[in-house]
Amino acid sequence: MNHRDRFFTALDLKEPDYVPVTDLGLDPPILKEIFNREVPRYAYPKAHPSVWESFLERRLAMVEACVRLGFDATPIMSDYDAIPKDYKPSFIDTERYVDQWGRVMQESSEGKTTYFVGGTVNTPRDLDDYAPPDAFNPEIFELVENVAKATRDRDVAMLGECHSGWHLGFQVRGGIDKIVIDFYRHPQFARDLLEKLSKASQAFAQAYVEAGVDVLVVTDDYADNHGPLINPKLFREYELSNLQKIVDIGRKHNLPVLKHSDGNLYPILDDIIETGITGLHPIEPGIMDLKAFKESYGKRLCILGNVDCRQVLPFGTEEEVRTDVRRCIDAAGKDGGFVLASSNSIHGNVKVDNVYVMVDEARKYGKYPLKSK
Amino acid sequence: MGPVIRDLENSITQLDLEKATAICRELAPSTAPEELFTAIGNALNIVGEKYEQGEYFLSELIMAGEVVNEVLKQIKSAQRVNIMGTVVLATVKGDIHDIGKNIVAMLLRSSGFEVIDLGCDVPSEKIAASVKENKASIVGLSALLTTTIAEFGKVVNSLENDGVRRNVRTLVGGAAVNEKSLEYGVDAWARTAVDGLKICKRIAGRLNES
Repeated sequence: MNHRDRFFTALDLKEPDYVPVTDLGLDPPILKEIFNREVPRYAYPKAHPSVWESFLERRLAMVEACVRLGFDATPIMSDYDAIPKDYKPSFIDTERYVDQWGRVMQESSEGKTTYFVGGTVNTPRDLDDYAPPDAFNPEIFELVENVAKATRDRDVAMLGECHSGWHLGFQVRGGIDKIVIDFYRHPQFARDLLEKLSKASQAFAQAYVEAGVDVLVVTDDYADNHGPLINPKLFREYELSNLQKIVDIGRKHNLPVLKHSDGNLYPILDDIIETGITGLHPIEPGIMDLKAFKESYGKRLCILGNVDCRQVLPFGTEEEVRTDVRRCIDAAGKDGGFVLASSNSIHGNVKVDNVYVMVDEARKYGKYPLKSK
Repeated sequence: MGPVIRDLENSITQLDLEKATAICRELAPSTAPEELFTAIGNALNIVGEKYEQGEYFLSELIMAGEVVNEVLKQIKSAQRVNIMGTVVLATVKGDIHDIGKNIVAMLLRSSGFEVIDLGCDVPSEKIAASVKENKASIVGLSALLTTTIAEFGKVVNSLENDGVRRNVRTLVGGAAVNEKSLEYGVDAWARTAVDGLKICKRIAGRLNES
């Protein structure tokens, strides 16, 4: 069975030859170590002649890294990376800049990643002026298409990552606290903001379809360790239909749609599943029980995850990584419908050797029929 | 507690901003601030309990903070209010996660603390300098990543180097934090934001008594 077939067989809730492996993201320090060369970081490289080309280079490197690691699927594009060729970051000071979505971002002190520190839509007038990136801007679409073209003939499934509304909404607004207060005090403002971001996200999903991706992945985080960030009523009122619209785009074109969210999703889990998603990632370890989840939902949707990237992948020994991979396969591998991945992403603090071990153990312990109980 | 004060408590608990501010506008000029703060404190405790029991979510914690902030404005415009204490908050160097820290900041402000929020990815020296400059009595440190919790020890060292370790209590929280975090020389750890608020109140209560 080739990589693509292995991945799609699992998404179809069947048993492939081995438990497939993928991940939703590999940070630049990981790419640098895999290729032993500099790969453009997330922050806009001030000295780089073309930000667009630096983003293209990083996305192509990510595909190449996934192939080299032996993954069965690879992310090809995220809406976070959607910029036209003439895009210039708008620096507020030496550390902070406004990105193309209107988020204020800052590079971490160690340069391993960038993080959100604020937003730019503070008033209804700001919202009137606010224009999110257009996925069908020819130069943005060219970026997507270039990575898709370079991946299309490889034996690896292509994942296109977009949001649905909420996550970009609270970031553009400047924080979860601000948008939540809007929900209570200025509901029309919040609705209008999310509507704009939902439409922009739908355009990304549609653009990925047209560029030939195999799978859509919706990456908005809905929960923390305690539970959903907003109560189920607010979730249904402001976000659920946004997710539904992305799922509908996938279904219309016969593409599987995977949902990612950290945290404890139980209070809104049925809502999420009823949208018709194909799979859920990562069933956060220590927060949601993978085995119990498989027993309850394993016949309805594919499970992706959940090798611990908080402790095991950054600090674990080879044996600890193998043990954690076996834990995941024992809990969720039975009867197929499971894809091994990290519990969030291959972030900059993960040991690259441990990622190779993760794949190796999936190929050894994850051979169907499984030996596990 | 009189029926109107109880209405204030209930309206905060039910996140009814208009009712809470209307009651407070009426009460603030003629009611002892201690009585108003007791009602606010009781309401926040109930909100915290509902959160811990899964009846309320982060959204309700945020909105309760907003209601209390508006109520505090009414009280402050009507009378002088004592500050419970000054807290310096930061997510430690190397860590960029701030949702939990921001909630703690909001709860502390709502409970009468002065909060100096230094943001994310903050070096230990900057935290110690802020404690010294602001004469803070509590430092709250957040870490989501296990890769960054060793920074707690660096903050404790920086506080010692700046000669302010004895003046300040150190509290840590975040997904990577548990009782083992105390090995870094910090004074307390909190499981949740509400837990963090309770600990800060206990510390402030002891300091204000002494």
